Amino acid sequence: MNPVLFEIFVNQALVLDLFGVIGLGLVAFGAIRLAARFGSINARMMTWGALALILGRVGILAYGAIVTPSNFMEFDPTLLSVGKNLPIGLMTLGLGMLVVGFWSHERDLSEAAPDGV
Amino acid sequence: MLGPPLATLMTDPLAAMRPVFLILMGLSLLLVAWRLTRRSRGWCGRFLMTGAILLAIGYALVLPLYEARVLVPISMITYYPNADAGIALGWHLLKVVSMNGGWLFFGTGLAIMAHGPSPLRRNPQFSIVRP
Repeated sequence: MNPVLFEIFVNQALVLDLFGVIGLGLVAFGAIRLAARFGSINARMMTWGALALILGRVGILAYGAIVTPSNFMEFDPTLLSVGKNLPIGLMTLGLGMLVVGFWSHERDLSEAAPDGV
Repeated sequence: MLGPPLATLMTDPLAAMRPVFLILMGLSLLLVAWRLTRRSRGWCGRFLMTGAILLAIGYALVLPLYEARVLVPISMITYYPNADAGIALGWHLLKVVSMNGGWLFFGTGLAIMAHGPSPLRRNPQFSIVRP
């Protein structure tokens, strides 16, 4: 395999991880703007969900960058468990909050204008 | 006796229910995005729908298969000598592209949608009859 493509897609996946974090930032930006426009609880929930998703994603990337097989034994096992599971929980809850807020927002829009957004 | 998902259901129910939650969230994201953009035209709906399809593939197909240990992660490929490295690489590429590209497209569509109402796909029907 091409070493450049290997670096991009497999080894660190830096560019694609950057795309994902930028996309989550765009989700948070859109949710904040929706909250400013509509002033509803749904867009605020989407904002908190997107923030939790960003924190969890950056936590997962930081865990993968900091903890390597060579220095794995130097850390406290409790700290490692928290650092591995807390971002996963944040991402799961954030995804749930984002979906619930998105669904409620769509329901409000379709109740306000059934023929279209 | 039990496979990995059912054994995890006995020992750690929260971790065993997480793939189910991910499947539900991915499919509902797809459903809500389709309901939101089915009457709109323009790039907002296309971006939002592309991102929702990619995220549904990632959350409802790829991540549960990894959590069920059907697929071998690319970092663990050296510990599975019978696994095909090419297939593992292909699933890894699908996961990386669908998750990250999905969030990028979905975020772009949501940011465009937040700027204002999108144009309708069909012309609005006017009537002289008072509703």
